Amino acid sequence: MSIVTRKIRATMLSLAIASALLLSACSSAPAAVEPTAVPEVAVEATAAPEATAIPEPTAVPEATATTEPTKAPEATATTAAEATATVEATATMAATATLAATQAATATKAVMTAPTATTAPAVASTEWEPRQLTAKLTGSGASFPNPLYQVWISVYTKNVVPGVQLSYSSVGSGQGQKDFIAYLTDFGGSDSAIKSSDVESKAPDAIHLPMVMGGVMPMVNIAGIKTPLKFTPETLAGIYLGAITNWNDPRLAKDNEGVAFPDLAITPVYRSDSSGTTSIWTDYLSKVSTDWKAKVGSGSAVSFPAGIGASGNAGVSATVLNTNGAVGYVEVGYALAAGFPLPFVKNASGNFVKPETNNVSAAANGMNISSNPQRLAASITNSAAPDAYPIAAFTYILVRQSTYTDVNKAQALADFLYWGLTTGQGATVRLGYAPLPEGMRIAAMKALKTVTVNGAPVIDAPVK
Amino acid sequence: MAVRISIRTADYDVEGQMAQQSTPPQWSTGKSPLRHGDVPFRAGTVALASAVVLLVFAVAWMLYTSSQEARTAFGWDLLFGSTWNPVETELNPVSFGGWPAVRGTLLSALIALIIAAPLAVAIGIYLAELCPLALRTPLSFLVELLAAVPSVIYGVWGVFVFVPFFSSTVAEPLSATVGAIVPWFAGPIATGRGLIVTGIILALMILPTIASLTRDVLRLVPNTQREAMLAIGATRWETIWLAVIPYSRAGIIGAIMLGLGRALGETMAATMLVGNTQRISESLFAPATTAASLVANELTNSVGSLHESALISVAFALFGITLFLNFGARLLIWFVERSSRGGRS
Repeated sequence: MSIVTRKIRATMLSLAIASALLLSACSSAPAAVEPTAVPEVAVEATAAPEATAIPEPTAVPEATATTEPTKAPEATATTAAEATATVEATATMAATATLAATQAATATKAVMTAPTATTAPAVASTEWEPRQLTAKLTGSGASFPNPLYQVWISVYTKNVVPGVQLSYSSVGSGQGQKDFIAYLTDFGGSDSAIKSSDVESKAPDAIHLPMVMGGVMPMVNIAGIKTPLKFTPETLAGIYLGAITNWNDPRLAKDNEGVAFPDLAITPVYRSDSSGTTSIWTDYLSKVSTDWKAKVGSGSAVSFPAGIGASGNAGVSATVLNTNGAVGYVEVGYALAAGFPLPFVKNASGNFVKPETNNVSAAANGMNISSNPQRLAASITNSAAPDAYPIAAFTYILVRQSTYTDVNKAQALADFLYWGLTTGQGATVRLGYAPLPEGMRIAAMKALKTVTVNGAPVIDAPVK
Repeated sequence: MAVRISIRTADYDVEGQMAQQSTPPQWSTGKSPLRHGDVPFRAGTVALASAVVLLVFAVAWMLYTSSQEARTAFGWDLLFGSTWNPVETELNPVSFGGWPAVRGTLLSALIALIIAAPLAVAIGIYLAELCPLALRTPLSFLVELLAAVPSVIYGVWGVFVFVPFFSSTVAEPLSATVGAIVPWFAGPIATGRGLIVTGIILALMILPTIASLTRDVLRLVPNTQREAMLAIGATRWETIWLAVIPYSRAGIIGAIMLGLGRALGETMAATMLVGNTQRISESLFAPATTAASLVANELTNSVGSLHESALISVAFALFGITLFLNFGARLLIWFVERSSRGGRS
């Protein structure tokens, strides 16, 4: 018996050692990507004008290193021009990506798909380039924009400004605000504005920079019904208030002619974890339903009168998919990635609108943008714009207007955010977010330019 | 083999710790000269051991102070109030009543215990007493492996496999028949998530804990107990029931209490399965919430400081419940041990 035990122990030990070796091998591989050797190769790359940027967005920069080097000499005049415009960035990119693939020998010839040079609208890089600063920046906050921020950070720190170390931890909007107010982080992420009372007392110089927009949509699972359903504010509120309890309710049938609803109980599914998604959803329902406003209200966690709670977008969608007759609300980006059909929701102008990214962006069109850089945060649910998807919101990055003390840090942060507001916007649609509409983007840039350290502005970039 | 011998020679109590001997070991009396390594070693262990105690008090103190705001605002309603509404509206004022969570915690743990305790003790008895030697090690290993499965995996399995199966084969027929009369089993089933599935999955999770501890405890019963019983002509069953189990009763209760502790505090699997609603329903099939999942769900992104404070109060209550139950278990063990040492007369 003891021999058996010993054998098992020996096996487990060897397994442990093997896995430890494997792990250390894995962790040592990405270490090679560290941009320590970048300068030398970068020089080489700049010397070679073949290195071009092909506008083809890729979320993961490393993957691009596998492109064949044969295409390099075919660089056309236009792409070459584009490439020279961002020559420094491209070169660094070439270096980093090539290093990652350990193809140092072919560094100059490798064709890089350059996420930085991709975005169609208003690439400001012709006049502005991020400064090559060395700084360590930390932020925390909302989980909703986290996938986007991680891609931004990954591209920015690998390919654009390798000297800057950025980290963003997805801890929720509330915690993000707290960390920011307590000066634990350099920037905060939040789906909602800091309470005005808190702004005055705790963070008087906070600026809410809108970075990107997102929508929230209902997803349904009714066996046999595949056509996208149409919802009105009344039916959505009715379902979540527990007033509409069966799919064969005439109120639902009225908007969905031709859909044969079965006699099936409705199970509303909501987010059990407090979240920005719930804030947007309940903010919308509070605006369109007086009943909802009086009974439930809006917030990141409310007392839902009907249904069951599941944790996270994934939890909600899994619950909906497992339950015949369920309806749940999820972020549009999540639903798109998971391949759910988009429903129609009736907006304030009476049009049934799908949550496509341009419709989500359009939700910001009806609003008046404040000229005060500290007052950019606004609720845009139930927008009056005719093509707006009504359940939409901004997500913000919180920065300090005048209380940064480290010039270097503040400059690096401003560069990153400016990059996010220009080049970075191109990555939004692929990840299921809606880019900021032009007016809001410009307002955000103007607000960013008001950030000062010791009275001197930290960024001097064109507003375009 | 070495383990066996030491069991026979040393005097172990039922929990497998060395019993307090009548004469304490030499090194703890301080009379014999301390060797050069002893002083730092002793200081080190004392420091580490007291750090654990301090940690418990530090946690309790943090929970106490951080929950101050909600406790002064709501008092005992935090424990026994049944309305949980973090957002102020015209019709519903802000209210933090933790009873749905406390009730859900207690009920789901109770269901888990009712299912798991007999099963796990049976497994433990089989492994320690009846199992063929060749099977004993692999089976024990597998049971312990079950204890090492992370709770999120139980949760995923519950969501995708167990809940659909359970609601179609058990919950729906039961609610359609018995449920019409007994409100405990009333429908509708809807998603299938609720207290009872949480309880069953929790039972699966605490089963290996209780089973392997029970096995260990039974293995520590001196063979003389069994031999004496067999010598007077008892059957295997009688030996186990009359000589082995009474001897180790306190240890088995301890094992069950450890399992209960895990069931009370389980967060991940409970969150995935319990349905997370603050509405209290009599039906065990209806969604509910537990204290641990409520805190995990809402603390990260709480609406305001009062909300956060109320959540910490719920955590404090959970802390209190586990402490109270552990204390109760200690008392029970002490009581049982005193009355039953050496077997039932």
